[in-house]
Amino acid sequence: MIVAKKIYKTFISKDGRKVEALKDVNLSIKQGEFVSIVGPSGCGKTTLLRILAGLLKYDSGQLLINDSVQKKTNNGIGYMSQADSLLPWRNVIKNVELGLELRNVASRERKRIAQELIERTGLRGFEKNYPFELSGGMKKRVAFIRTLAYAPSIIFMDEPFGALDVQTRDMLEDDILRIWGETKKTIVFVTHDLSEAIVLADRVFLMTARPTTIKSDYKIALPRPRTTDIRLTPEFNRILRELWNDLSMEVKKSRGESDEKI
Amino acid sequence: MRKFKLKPNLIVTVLRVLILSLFFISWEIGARTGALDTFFFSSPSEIAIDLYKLFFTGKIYPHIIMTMKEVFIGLLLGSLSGILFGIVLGKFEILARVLDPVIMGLYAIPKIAIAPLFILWFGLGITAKIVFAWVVVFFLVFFNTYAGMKSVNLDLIDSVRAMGANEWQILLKVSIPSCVPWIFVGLKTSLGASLIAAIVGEFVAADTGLGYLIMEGSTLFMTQRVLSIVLLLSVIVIAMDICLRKIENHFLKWRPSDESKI
Repeated sequence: MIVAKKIYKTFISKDGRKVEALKDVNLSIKQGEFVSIVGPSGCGKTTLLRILAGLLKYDSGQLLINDSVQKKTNNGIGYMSQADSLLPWRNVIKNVELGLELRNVASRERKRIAQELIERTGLRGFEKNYPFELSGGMKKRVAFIRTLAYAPSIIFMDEPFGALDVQTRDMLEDDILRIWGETKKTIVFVTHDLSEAIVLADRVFLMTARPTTIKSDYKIALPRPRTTDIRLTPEFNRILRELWNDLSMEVKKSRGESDEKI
Repeated sequence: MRKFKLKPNLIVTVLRVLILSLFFISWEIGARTGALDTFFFSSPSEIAIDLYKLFFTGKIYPHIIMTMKEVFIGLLLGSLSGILFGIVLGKFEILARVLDPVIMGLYAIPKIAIAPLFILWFGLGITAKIVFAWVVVFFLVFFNTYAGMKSVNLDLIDSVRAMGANEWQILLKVSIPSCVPWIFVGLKTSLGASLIAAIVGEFVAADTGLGYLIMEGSTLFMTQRVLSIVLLLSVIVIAMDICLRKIENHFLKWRPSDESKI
């Protein structure tokens, strides 16, 4: 469970100006919930995610992860960034084993868990390949099962499929839906793609332009189990239109500002 | 002629042999016709005879062994200490900032200028040359390792930290492995540098070693002797470079292969 109360975060930019990234962010995410965070580009989505994941300090407010105050990185979380961030000098199976290795799990057990996940995601035969030999989609798969391997209760994902083509994206989204259905992890998924957010999540948080706060919190009442085919239903399109209208106001607002990034 | 498609590698090899033989043949012709004064320039045949004598009588071996000992022990100590220092200073930013002027100051000293001091401090024997080579190699490997530590992909560190790694594990599993390519760059430049250091050390004071043989040859106006040893030295450097490349290829097989393998 994740509870954030009145989170504030300000950056000092290189020329010494203060940039307010997050302002009064409040949210509560239940165990086993799949939440997407969507906002105009350049808003503090990644900042918020990094704070929730314990990778970044916040200025004020309170953050509870599984009922304890989040100080530094918690052992029970997974984090997937925009880059695939596989260790390039480790082959596929060694990458998947990494989290277990950090927890001093015995070698044989590590191999067993990693092998099982590799087979479940159709990566069999690539165990000994290095990341540079894999396609973009395969790298993402490896990064995802690497996160699953050490069984974190919460997984944070920061636009993990941003750089992929549509077909590969659909495939990976189906993978995530399937695996989430099997494991019921809590997933917090940041994206700028509204359609992706709706397909995946139980709830979608819309963020405002900077200084970012949560503008609205939509419950996505689409049936489960889902596949990406749900995009073809009228219900999906109704939700998409509703959220789009809401979001486009923020996008316009953020376009009015300068385009600098934090 | 289109039917003959030579592999690029073969073309390179053929051209190499061609250029080298052209060089030696024109040198030999120059020497025989009197266009080149053999007193100053010797000739390939004289050099070949001299090399044959040096090896046949066994006179050369103690000298090769001595110089190689200096080079290898210097390389070993220099790279180990350079890697260690690079990692420690890369890890502890404050230490690096404190020591920066000292290191840059020491580095700025032209090492060759202080070679006589090493003889003064460490005597006429092998120690002075080893220490000299050590110092030269240390700086090369240190700077490269340090640069490697400073350019570790922060995204990798973040994602591994989020997996629950402590600082020590991050160092062992992320920072150090990602320095390996940099360390090899340092080692490559060190090969030649360590040989220069040993030879210069032997120039200053020695009674064994290839540097000593060069000195002896030039004081006796034996141009062919000097050139024999020079030729031998370049063969040694090439052999060492090939060995290092093999080791590098083994360690860096996780990188997309570059075409420039020899």
